[in-house]
Amino acid sequence: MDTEAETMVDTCLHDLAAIVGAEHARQAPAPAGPAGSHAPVVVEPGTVAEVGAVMALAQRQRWRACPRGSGSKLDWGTAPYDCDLVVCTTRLNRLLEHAADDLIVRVEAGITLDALQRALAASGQMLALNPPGAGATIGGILATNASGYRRQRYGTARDLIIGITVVLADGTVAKAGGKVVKNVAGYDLSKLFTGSLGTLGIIVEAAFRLHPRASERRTVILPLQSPVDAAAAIQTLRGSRASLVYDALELQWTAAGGRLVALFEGTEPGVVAQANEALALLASIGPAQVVTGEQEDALWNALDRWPWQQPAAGDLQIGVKVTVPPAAAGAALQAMLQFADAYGASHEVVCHAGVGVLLLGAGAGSPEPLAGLISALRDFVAGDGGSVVVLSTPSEVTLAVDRWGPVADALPLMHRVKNEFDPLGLLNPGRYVGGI
Amino acid sequence: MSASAEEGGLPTNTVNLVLLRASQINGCGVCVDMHARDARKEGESDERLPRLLADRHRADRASQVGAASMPAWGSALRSEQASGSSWPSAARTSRWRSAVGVRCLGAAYNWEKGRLAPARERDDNVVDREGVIAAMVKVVGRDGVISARDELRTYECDGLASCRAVPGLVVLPRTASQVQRIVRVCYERGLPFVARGAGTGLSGGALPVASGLLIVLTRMNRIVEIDIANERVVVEPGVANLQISEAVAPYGYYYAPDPSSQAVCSIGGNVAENSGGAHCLKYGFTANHITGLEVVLADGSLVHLGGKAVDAPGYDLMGAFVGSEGTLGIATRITLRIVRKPETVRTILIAFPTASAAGAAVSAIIAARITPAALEIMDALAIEAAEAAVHAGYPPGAGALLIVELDGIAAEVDHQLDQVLALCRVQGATELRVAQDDEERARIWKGRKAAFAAVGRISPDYYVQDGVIPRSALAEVLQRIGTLAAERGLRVANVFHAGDGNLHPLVLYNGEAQAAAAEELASEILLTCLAMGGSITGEHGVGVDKKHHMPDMFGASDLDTMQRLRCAFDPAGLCNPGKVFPTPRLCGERPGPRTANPFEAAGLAEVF
Repeated sequence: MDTEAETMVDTCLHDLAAIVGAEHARQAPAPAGPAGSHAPVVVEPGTVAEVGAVMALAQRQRWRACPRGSGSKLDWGTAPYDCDLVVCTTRLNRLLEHAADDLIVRVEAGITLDALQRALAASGQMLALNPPGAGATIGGILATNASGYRRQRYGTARDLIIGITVVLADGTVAKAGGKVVKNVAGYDLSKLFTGSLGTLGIIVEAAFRLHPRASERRTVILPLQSPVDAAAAIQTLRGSRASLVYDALELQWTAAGGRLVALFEGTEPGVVAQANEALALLASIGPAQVVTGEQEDALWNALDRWPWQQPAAGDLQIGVKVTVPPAAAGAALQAMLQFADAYGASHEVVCHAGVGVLLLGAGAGSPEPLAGLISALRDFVAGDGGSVVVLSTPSEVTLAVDRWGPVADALPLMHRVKNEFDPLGLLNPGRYVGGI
Repeated sequence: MSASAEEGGLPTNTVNLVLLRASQINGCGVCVDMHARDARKEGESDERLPRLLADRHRADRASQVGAASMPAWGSALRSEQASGSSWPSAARTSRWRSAVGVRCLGAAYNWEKGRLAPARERDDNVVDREGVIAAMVKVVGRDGVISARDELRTYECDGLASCRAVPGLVVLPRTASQVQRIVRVCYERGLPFVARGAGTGLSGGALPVASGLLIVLTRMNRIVEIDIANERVVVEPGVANLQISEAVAPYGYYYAPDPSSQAVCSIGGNVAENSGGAHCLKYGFTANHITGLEVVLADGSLVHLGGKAVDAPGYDLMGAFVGSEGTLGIATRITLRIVRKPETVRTILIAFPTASAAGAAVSAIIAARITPAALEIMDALAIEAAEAAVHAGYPPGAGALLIVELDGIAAEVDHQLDQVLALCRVQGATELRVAQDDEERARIWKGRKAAFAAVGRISPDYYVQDGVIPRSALAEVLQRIGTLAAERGLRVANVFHAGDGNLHPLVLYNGEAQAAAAEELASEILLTCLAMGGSITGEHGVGVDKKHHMPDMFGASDLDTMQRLRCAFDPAGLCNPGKVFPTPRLCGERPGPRTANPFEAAGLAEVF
């Protein structure tokens, strides 16, 4: 680091320390921001007002800022082309209000989902959002729009969030929504910020609707030998009849084969009836069974990780999210496995079969086959109006394909939105679709 | 605004002119009329006022006139400063330093001093109505354009009949490309436009702009595609909500959001308002059931947001569009999610001695981890009205009725039904009726869905309110509403979606004499909701009706931030202007390099 840069960092630390205290503004030991970016300074504000003051200062100084929660998804999105300041929300970790009678909760964005769920469990309630991966913060989950198998029944973050507070690039603190489930006053900025990957502002607080935890559950699994069987099994269960209401309808595929997993939650008579019916329906495809106890827990724990989290030695591993109209999930899985074989890529797939979302962890010794795989998948989904997004890549890999894929005719409008919220382009520059 | 104008030391009538100009920029016809009335009351002459009103309601024109007067205004301020008048101090008042404020104040100054806008501007004030009509006829044909004054009157209001404005012109397109061409003409000429579906909205969201266009979408009423395999239906905006459920019923599906007006209200309107209904407790609102939109933006361009697949990459502009009350564009094609009809539906009608007891039963049901499809309460007055209107056969003498609807798996619902009955008995239910067949179920709902209109049977006039509270505060809020009503000698009939705390108090009144008191009471009820941590609207929208309540719920920076989105979609402010937000944000105010405004040029204001 040359002298000029050092002086800048010193000034920066000094000014930030005046806002958050010296112990919460420091030089980053290692890259602390999104993969590929090198931010020299990390700041950890302890209140919303401090985030506002930090951002106002950053804008005045034209520092490029990268918001960060626990850091579990820093490899999501394109690496920002520059980052002077990492704004860490982990000290904003308070549970502000849990109105159990009203089934709502308000939190600061730096609280982890795990901590929140533990607190809610005491009242027999949950936030019906369960993206894989431990330690993720609510703010990070919102910013990345991460979701898990519960989306089958409860939808995603956009369906559960009822209020939001954000700090914009100029330090403005703004809120939208509220803390009641039904509310149409003003624009729904909660949805706008969900999935915006820190490019419009920093999420500092959020309110959610909650759901009661069911007293009983049954898990039905069907081992699968071939992708054709997998597609058939999905077809059989998906929307088959009104007497089955899934809490999860998952398909897992690894090199060793696959399995279909259906989850039913509710009251004892309800889940028993549904599990029995599912077993009967699947009998023509293979030996389905109800799993219980430790085996059941182990199964759901195995699904609580992204399918790209365990790369084989020497492999470059990328994480890809594919969306298709729900009925095309089976066909998409078949295509995905076929393309992966064709490009010689190792692969693991988790498919939220009921909603048409597939997560692919693909590995290869070099980036070229992976880029080929992505292109092939994009061609496959193009006709159906689906999407193929590369969520995560190792920092050293540059793929020869765009991470986001086509966004059609809405991209100019997205640029205008970015420009209104962050006119100087200081927040996570270049991390989002179309270079936003 | 008036406070800050007065703060600046301007005479009252000048403040009226400033506000009038602000309303024109805002495009709010109702406000223009109001301020014009006030100005007259304060003695503004009938010679000056009509000239000011000549370019009424035209955001762009008012802005242009304001902008054109800027250089004169800047130098005028300098001489006013020397003469010690109140204008320069008004100009320093923070509120008027915004770009809109500068223009309003500048324009009003010129009026006050009897200066006219430049001649070229005056000539342009005459709207080329014939030219616009010709352009529209070219797009939609003669039968798609309504221009006769008496016919235009049909469209002067939506379901909020107290707010009226006759539109300059009504156009009825049949295709998205016609909508695009219409909007492009508006964009090029700077004409504001308002989209309208069936006109059943209750907050004045489809209130026309007097010198703009009303784009009525009822002719775009095709169900484009029914895709059962993907559980999607693609429709044009003019399709009625109920038509969708009817179309997919043979396949065992329905469309979940069910506003009370579902037989007539259009899907386009539902998207604009993020409509709810009795069953959104379990199934969510319109926003949770839309997966794709085709939208014509304010400049006439067409964008596609989402589709049949979920989680499209990029900002969730679809999520932001739903519920934006027609201010971000016009949806011309809508892809929505349909759901399986449940295996079983059980509807229960339960009578309680008081509404509070019914509210306690609701809390008990939720606490028992049951999520019914619907939880509705009607109080004694609402029951009386519904009985008078549709003879639903509700138990006589009940203080309140609770309707519980359970749906889902048969085994599950049977179990929950027993639980609900037991819980209601504990809470003092006096009568419990489980509907034995579809006919009885329909009769129970008929009374509930007719409740709004039915109130007309027991009161000459009524005002429908829509507020939200945390469900647990129900008993407290009901009591407060009772007290507030008694203080004013008015009656309130209560109908509410109790499961999600959405109240619909119907304030009953008799004629003009009580109208002000009724409106005041309705306002007080909203403030009560807010004090409890609730919202000023759960499903009817803000529109023109409640925009003056927005600052009660949101701070200036919240509203300003929301309007950044508006600026991205519609920087010229042509699309349904004057709705949702109490004051407009002038788009294009950016940090970074900036040009000096006249105050700065005149050396009267520092940049901060």
